[in-house]
Amino acid sequence: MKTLHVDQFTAGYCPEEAGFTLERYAGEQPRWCKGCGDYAILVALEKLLALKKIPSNQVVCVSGIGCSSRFPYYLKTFGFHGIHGRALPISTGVKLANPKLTVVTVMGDGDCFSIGLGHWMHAVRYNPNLLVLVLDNEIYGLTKQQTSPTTPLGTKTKTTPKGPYIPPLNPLKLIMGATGVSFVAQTATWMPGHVSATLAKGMEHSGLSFIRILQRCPIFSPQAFGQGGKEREGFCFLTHEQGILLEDNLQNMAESLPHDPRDFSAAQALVQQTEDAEKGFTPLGLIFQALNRPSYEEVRFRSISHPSPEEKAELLLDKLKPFEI
Amino acid sequence: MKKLPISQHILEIVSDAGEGAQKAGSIFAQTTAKMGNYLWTVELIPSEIQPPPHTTRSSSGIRIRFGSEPITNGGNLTNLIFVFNEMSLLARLEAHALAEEVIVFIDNQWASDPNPDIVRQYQQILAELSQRGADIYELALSQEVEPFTEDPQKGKNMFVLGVLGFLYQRDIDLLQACAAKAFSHKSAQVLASNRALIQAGYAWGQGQLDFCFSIPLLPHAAPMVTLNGNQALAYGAIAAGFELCSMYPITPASSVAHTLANIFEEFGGMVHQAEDEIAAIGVALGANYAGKPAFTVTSGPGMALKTEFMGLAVITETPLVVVDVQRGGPSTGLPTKIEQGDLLSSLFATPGDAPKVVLAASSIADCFHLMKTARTLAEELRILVILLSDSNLATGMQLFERPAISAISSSPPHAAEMESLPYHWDKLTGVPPRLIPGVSQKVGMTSSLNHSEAGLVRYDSLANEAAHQMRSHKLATLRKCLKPPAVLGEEEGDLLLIGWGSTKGAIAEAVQIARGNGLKVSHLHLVFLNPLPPRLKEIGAGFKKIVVVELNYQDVPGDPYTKDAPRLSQLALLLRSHTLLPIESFARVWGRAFMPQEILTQIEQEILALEAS
Amino acid sequence: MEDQLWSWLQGEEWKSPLFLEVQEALGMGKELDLAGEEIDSAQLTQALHPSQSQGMERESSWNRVLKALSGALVLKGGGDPQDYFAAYDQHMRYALQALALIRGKEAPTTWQELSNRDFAFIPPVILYFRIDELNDPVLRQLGELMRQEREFKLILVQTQIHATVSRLGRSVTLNPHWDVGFWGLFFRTYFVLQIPAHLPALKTEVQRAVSSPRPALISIYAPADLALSELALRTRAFPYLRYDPEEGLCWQATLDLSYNPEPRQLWALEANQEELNLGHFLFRQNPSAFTPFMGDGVPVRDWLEAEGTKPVFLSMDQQKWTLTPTQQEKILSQIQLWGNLQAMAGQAKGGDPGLVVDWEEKIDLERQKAVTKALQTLSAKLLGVTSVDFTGSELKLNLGSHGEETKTKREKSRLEKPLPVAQSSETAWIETPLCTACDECTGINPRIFAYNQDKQAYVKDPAAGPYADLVKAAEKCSASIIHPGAPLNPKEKNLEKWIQRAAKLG
Repeated sequence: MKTLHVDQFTAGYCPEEAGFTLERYAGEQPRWCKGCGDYAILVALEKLLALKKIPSNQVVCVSGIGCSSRFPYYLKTFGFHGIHGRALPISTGVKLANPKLTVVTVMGDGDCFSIGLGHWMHAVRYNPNLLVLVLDNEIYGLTKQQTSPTTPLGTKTKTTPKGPYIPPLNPLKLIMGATGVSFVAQTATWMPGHVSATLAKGMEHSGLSFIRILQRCPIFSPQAFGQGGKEREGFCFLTHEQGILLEDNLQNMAESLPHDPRDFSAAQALVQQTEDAEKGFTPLGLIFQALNRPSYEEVRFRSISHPSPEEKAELLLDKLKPFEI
Repeated sequence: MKKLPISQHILEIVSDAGEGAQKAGSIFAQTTAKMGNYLWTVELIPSEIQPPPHTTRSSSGIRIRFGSEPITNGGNLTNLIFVFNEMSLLARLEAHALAEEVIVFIDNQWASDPNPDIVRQYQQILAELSQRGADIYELALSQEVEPFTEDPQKGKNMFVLGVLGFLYQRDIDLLQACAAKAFSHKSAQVLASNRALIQAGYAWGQGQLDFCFSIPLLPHAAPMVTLNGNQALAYGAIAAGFELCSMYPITPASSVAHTLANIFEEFGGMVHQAEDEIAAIGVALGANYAGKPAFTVTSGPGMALKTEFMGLAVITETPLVVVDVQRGGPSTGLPTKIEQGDLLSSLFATPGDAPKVVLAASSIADCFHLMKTARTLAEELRILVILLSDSNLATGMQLFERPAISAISSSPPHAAEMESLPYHWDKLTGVPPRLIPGVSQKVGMTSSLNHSEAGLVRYDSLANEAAHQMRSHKLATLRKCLKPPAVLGEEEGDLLLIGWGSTKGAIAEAVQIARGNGLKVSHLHLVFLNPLPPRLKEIGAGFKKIVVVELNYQDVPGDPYTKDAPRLSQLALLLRSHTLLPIESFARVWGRAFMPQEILTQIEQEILALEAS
Repeated sequence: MEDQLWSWLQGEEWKSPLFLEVQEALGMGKELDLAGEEIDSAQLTQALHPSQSQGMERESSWNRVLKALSGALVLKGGGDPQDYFAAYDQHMRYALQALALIRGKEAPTTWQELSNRDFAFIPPVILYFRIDELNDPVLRQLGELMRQEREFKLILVQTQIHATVSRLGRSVTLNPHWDVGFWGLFFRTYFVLQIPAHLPALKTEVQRAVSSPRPALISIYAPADLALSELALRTRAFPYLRYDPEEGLCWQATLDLSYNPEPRQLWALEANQEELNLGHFLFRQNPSAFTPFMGDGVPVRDWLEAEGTKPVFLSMDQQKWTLTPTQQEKILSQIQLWGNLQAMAGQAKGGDPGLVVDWEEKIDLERQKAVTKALQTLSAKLLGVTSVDFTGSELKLNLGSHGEETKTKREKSRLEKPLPVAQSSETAWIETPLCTACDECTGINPRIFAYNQDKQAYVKDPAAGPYADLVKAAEKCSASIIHPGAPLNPKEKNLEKWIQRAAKLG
């Protein structure tokens, strides 16, 4: 077919460049509450996919249950809205089926750190090549304000009207103690540029890239993380040439701390400090990255053969020989 | 020398764990099968890993039922037992496994053991058996083997094999060849000693025994294989083109994965041992979603944990096969023993209306072939398929025709590339197109919420009703294509027995004997439990009484405490609601398979009662 | 003749070779491999993958694809062009689905990406016009269909040609209808076929046109009496012509006139060596339009040789008939057209000296210009456009002012991109790079706030709403990056209050 498009000649049309726009990845109109940080993450992800020029049909977004888990509906890629806490096993299955797919797993704090904690720790150990986003607003939002594992002491919720009885779980300490951890970063929705840079770093990493994204729920936890960054104390950018690079407009939004993300001991020491009542702070940036840790699917696919259907049949009959009479 | 003609026999070899009774038994079984007999073997495994020796709990062995006709079940009571000590004998006696006139061969070294307690219990047990009518042959097993081996513990089993070779007139050269093959990884010295021991055992029989058995042999027309049910599930999975077995260890299902783990990678497949039962099914579901045929295998407690994911498979219409090797329940129950208690929970445990296919293997060959059926149905109908096996099949070994396979395809049937939407249901069959990430050009949303044809969330009544109806239509499509079940015997008469799963062989054997005795009894066996095949009601109407036979609980008939409203067994409950016929049941939870004799007795009682009324 | 043509177009002839491949890929006709005696696998196969005959009745997506592959999509002409475009696009989508199924990821995703080879696998979309005579509305519709990029095969079956004779018998108007094939030549991407129906080669010629990877214009003269068709060919009233642009770049290579008898003559002679000109055709088609010729005159051939000297008459059935001035003009014009056709096809070389035109050397530039101009006017009239440039390529014709639009759009989007720098405190502004796209401000007033192409908010028009909305948005902003600036309307209600609240924002 030789019909010519006029704009191929008049407008310097380049098919590869064209089409990788935000709209290409935009699904349904999001129905999150106004003021929700989820929007920033959605836009950041759409931008990243456009930037990396990943065809929509090569992307699978898997989620669990919760506000954040509506993510896949709002992306025009393959989407799998699963069940509470179980997004990681599904994602691992997808990678074992087709390692070429770009898989983004989106969970909330309840989803990942509470009901799905077992899967989380084991997924970190398996290390499949996933971009894992945990949208942590320190509250259960979809079920309307119950306490989550990360709800700080003193925060009143419907199940703990006087605030939680026990201190919150520190996901950074937990993951930095997990065998096989390969990528840990933290960012916050009120810094969209930082979210974008962190997501990009995570997507470039081979292995499970765990990114905790701090946000508030405008309805049920508006006070979380200093009202979503409005009180700018306690946050600290981790700076390093191998880490997340800061755009100019972010420089003055928090303190800076030099930190080498390739240094495991330094990373472990860093996360210990996040719980220190006196000197504690909230790091933003790349906390840890291990290079050259093979992903689970890499390890598994390395040792399998690829016989043809006929060879398989022959091989099976061969394997049945010892049982033959 | 008397040659006693028999058509079939049940033989047990039982020793302390580690004395090689199972090894000797499997060599004997192989020789027997090669010579042209059919067989069913069951391993007798102690429940603990290292039980104290010389106790009833430490006995380990093998039970071989063999004969000239095809053998479909473990049979009745043991005809001949070879034991290495009296406690093994006691264990089998206590298990009610031995016929009254059982022939016993026993090592007599315990009669002169320095421990007087052992001597006493040896004598007591033999006396009791003798009183029951057993025919006992004592032999100085340990002394006999001494000339041939340094460690009598290791050599007795081969001597026993030789004795059995004489007793059942096995071809000595074939027996030696099978033994040599079984120990092919051992040193020449061991092989030579084994050879001498078998020879000596055979010669001992010739010299010491005044009888042997003669069983007609009929060489098999087609090449046969002998596998246990779990091996058959594993090889069947390969033949069906599965490429991922995602599982979590659980008795008695684990050995499916063990078998696969050794060879699956050569076929391009992999075993993924997940962190728990839930993740195991989750990974299988994710892989199927992305186009790799995957299944998960488990047992009762695992099934309970997987129910939420099964619901997800149903609502997302992701093809998925779940294999349940049933054991005694509820909860941890009887981990190594058989029961068919997962029937109703397989059908109904998923909260919400969750139509799925449930089918059950009734033989080892079924275990192999139904894996393919399960995958085909799952992919073609985009449906969850539960394949039920049980621990009786899992450990039982049976001979079946070697399957003919020319090509094994693992690619999903097709990734429909449609202008339509991910849930563009075919209005008639209810089957939606299948979009596969990375393969289909068109992207689609797969949702655990109720959804529209576009895969988008819909909470309204009409959309919910429509989605339910479409999922249900898939089951209706399959139901319309099921054939009416075959009936063994006439399609009308006094009594119809209905069974499902591994009880098939025992029921059929009992029914055949009863019919030979002139009783008007027939047998119908179900492979599909959901959907149920057509014509059940019409067939049932041709009989005066219908009795379900299954290894499940029912309130004990006649128990005065429950007789006002006795609880029925599971299949009886299901079939009553399906056919509205007054179906009753013969159901037991003994933790072992039915013996044909028990079913025969039940048939006779039922028919007597019918005649009386 | 016409019925035969219609049913032939609907037939198996046009079934795509992809049809069987798709059936196979879908597992149709291949029985599902199911072990055991419990399932009737043939029945299940039939239920899930119905064979063609059943499948057609079933409304399933793949069946629609198979239907599209099973033959040409033949639509009756005369309806709304938009409906044809939609039908065409749908037909192509089905074909693309078939290609995607068979080729997987390599398959093209839009029909514009299809190669000629791909295209050969797709049954054609045929628009079938059966018309008594071409008229302006039909031609206008043809023009609309031809000037867009979809590759329709346009088939025009005419039962009458040159027949517009007024009741007064005054004239045959100089309508453009009869050389619609010639007109088609100027859409140089089109395969053009003009053929009288009596020719035995009709089907093979039509098939060639329809199977071409190009769009096609096929003009067929199919009168009820096929003798008229033959006469139309011999008199050059409806000359055979085939223009296949796949054949080459110059007219000689692409234009074929081979089915015209005695090509080097003005017209073919009858068996009795009687001359046969256009007048004879007009007479046979409608004798009542002619009146006997009285007085002194010359027959057409003599008249041509000595133009204008004496009155001309038509010699027919041993009688003389009057030729009106319009009829005379028509005869001349037809001779000229035939000559031009001959010249373009390069067939006239060495023929009748009166007609000799050497395409390479002698073509009269002026005449060419005149023809171009005539056609230009004609096309313009038909297409309803005022100026069409035929001297350049047909690209511009096809796509009109598309290029202009693209340019404007681009400029516009560049303008929309806001400046990231802080602006005067007097004007409302947003620290756009820090926007989290949370929909607060755009929800409060979408006329004031909008998203840029990076989905980050900026102040589109601070005057598009009350100052109150600017302040409310600034208060609600989850990233605290909205600066309401100073109020623009001093008369706004409660302005004091809003200014105070704005001051609190800092």
